[in-house]
Amino acid sequence: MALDESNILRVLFQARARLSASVWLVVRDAQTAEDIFQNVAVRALNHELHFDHEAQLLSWVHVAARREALDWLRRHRHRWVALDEGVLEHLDAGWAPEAEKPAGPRLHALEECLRRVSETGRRLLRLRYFEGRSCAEVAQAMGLSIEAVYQRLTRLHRQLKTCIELRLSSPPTDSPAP
Amino acid sequence: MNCPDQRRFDLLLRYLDGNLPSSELGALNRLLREDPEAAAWLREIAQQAVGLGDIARREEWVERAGEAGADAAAGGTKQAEKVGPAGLPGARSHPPAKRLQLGWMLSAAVLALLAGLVARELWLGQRAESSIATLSAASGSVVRQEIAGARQVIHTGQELGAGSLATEGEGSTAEVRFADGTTLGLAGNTEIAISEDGRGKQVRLRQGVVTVTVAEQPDDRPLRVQTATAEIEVIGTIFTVGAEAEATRVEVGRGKVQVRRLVDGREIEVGAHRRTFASLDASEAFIAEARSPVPWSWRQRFDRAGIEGWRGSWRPAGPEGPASWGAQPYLAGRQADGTPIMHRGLVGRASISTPGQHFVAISSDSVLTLRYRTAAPQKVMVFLSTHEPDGTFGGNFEALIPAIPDGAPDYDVRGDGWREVVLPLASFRAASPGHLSMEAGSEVFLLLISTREAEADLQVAEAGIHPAASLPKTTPQ
Repeated sequence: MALDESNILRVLFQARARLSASVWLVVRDAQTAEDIFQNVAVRALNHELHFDHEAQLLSWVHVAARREALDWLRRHRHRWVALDEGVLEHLDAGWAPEAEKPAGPRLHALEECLRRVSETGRRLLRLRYFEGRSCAEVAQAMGLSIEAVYQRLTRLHRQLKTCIELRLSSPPTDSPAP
Repeated sequence: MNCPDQRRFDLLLRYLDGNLPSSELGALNRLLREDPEAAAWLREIAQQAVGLGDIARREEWVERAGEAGADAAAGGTKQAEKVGPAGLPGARSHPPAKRLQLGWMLSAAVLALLAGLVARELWLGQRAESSIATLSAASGSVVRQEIAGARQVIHTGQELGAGSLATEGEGSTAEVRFADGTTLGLAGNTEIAISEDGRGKQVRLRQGVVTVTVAEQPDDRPLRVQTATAEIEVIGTIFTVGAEAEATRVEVGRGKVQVRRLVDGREIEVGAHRRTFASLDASEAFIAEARSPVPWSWRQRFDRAGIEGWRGSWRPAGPEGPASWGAQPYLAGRQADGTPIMHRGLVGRASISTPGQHFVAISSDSVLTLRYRTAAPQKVMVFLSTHEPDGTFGGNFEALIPAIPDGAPDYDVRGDGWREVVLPLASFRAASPGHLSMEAGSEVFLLLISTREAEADLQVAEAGIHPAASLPKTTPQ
């Protein structure tokens, strides 16, 4: 029996974080990634499409989102390079082992880990990933060289990754970290 | 998963930053194919980036919710820190004891909110609950544009949420009005994306020309207009922005704006009646200069190919008449079901790369002169778009030239099919809501000459707008 709308929505929102991240890798703009996710979600609910099971839906959604992202890139970012589609497929395949994991705990861990980041680091992350500024713009805003921004981003991503993995491997706690 | 060294990390970060030359793309593709650690790191960075965006958006949502009912929600607890629950600068903090529980509650709330938004707004094509503006006026075809090309025709009065909006065709215009009175006037073939959040109103101009009339904004939440090459920040003023892929022109009617050229991050202030031009060439002058005066008389001869700002097909002079430009199909509007309405026309828009961004200023006795020909007698429509002298949208106006000569003295037929028409601009009727007539001093930035019939074969040899007093007293022959 084909998945109904409520099941399609449930699967889509469970996969939202990873799907948006997959699209973000192509378009490198959070708002656009969100737009593409929403657009693909709308198409998935089109009554002309039928999905017999979740894996089929997820496979279709990943391919559709990747194509829309590449199409967007071709139309809007002439000067930006795009990865080979084969490489993007390879990257997408890497999300598969995590498909069953809920995204909430990871997001919560990221939120907790962010509190351990310095004020300067948080500002850098906000400028780069929430406001969508280029590293050159971040460098100018913070009075740094662009190389320094790349180095700080490298350190911050490593710090956050280590912290997230520690928190996800620890038993849940009801009290806030000291 | 071990960490790749800094060189490999640099490659990933420069790709994500749009700062990787195509000569290094092959190396990156190879790295991602052959090195599982590098591929895993790229996925990790993407997940962190998207997650950080979600957290920041959520904190702003909390901040707004907190502002709406601060006293009741806080229960007397101070909420004045500048750092949010997860510490992203710009959002407020909550008491530590409530953080964890609130985080989970908000995760669920955000997912529910997203689901609600998508289900109610995108599924049904409405955005009433998250409306941030209204389409207050429209002519021609105005669409909400989905990223993948799916388009929804929208009409005057429709509420707009955050998202993209486009005018289709040169003759289409739209006015978007925010609740505080700020308006965006879109010229033809213009595409914008609008949003409003804790940082203020944001407009992304992807292409075309938009005139922005900004009601006074809070000092810490200026309106921002972004293009591919510049960012304009403003508290309250009137200005016009024209953007193409590699250049942006800003003209200020009233007040002042701060313009940042993205290629090198330089900023300048542009005051009233001044303009600037920001391109991708950092060696180009980036200065605020006096706006070029718009002439009172203008004439365009279509005697060569490649006239900047004009779209049509050039035909050299021959036995049938002078050199001319022929009409081409264009989108004139859409029926209620979205079916396109195609007309044929010749369209000119003052280019952003030329001074003034306007063809001509209108005097009280201005007339339009036109030399044209059709294969058989056909009605010809002339359509003008104008700006007021202060830069606000001045309205669209149109006039119909009847197919059959009616014996008017300025309606001349030579016998070869070429006609020379003189039309007082005062006879044009308003074609956009709220604009009754062309005001003296208004400036024309778009001219469209068209027919509805595909077989009309409209050709135009010359067009102009002049004060009537400057024309020869005799009818042109």
